[in-house]
Amino acid sequence: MTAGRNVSYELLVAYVDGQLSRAEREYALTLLEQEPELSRRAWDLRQVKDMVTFAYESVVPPALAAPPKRRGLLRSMGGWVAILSLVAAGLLGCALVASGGRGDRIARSPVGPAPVVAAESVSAPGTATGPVRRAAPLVRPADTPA
Amino acid sequence: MNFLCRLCKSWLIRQRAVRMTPQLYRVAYAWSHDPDRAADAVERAVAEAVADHALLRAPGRLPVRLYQGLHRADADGKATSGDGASPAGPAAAGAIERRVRSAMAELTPDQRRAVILVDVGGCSYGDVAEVLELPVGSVVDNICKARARLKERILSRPGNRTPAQVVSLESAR
Repeated sequence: MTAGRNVSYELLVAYVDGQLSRAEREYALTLLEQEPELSRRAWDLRQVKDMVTFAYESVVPPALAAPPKRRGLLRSMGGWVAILSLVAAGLLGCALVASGGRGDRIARSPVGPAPVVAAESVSAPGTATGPVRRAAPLVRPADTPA
Repeated sequence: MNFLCRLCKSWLIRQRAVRMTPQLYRVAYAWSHDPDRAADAVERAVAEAVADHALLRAPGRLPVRLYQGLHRADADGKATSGDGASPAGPAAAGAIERRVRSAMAELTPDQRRAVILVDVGGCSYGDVAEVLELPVGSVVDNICKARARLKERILSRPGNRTPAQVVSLESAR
């Protein structure tokens, strides 16, 4: 029994289709080198495969065959970017409205009317909580009647 | 952030699907030999794949998903319009194309689909099995029978040229 008869037709077809593992491919190649008849059959199968591929190569209409026009990521996602920008702006607006009162007082205090109770920032010794606001003692002017 | 990632993946999937359109059309046309049905099948397959959220987790499965959609669309098209397309395709095709398409039309649908997916679509046997929902053994069997039939029909006729000769003739035109 020759080596060629051990090779199944399926193995030959799979070899032509490139579906064999590396070890199987090397085994098939060795057999093909030893058996001219196998080599001829493989060549015929390869011809059929190439002809089938070739026969349908040019059926694509020009409208589909033309590669799509390359566009930048931002340009092609323009609609999404616009929507995301609107959502981000909305969220920012909500955040500003939510913190609006406090931020407004903080912003106005240096230029607004003098506070009734003066405050000074001191660091509480022994604490790491940062500055605390402590009311300054009110001093009555000397000429003010009691 | 997660939303942005999904958005970018969806965009990439759409771009890849669009780039695969010519190849999808070749496969769909080779299955049906009907330009209109092939175009419809491609359009439907791309739309289905783009809308498939499972691809966001496994974008590498896009070709298989596209061919699955193509297969479903082709089967539905055959059910509605029948298999009345000309087996040899448009008359403008060359002699080799006509011969191959004529031989292809003599195969069974499963044989034709399998061999086209391998030769035109570039699929592996495993992918073909997944697309056609058949065991791999059946796919190998179909491909082997199809190859034998095609070889008998295409190469046994006198005056056939080798693919290298065909390509050189085509490029010389």
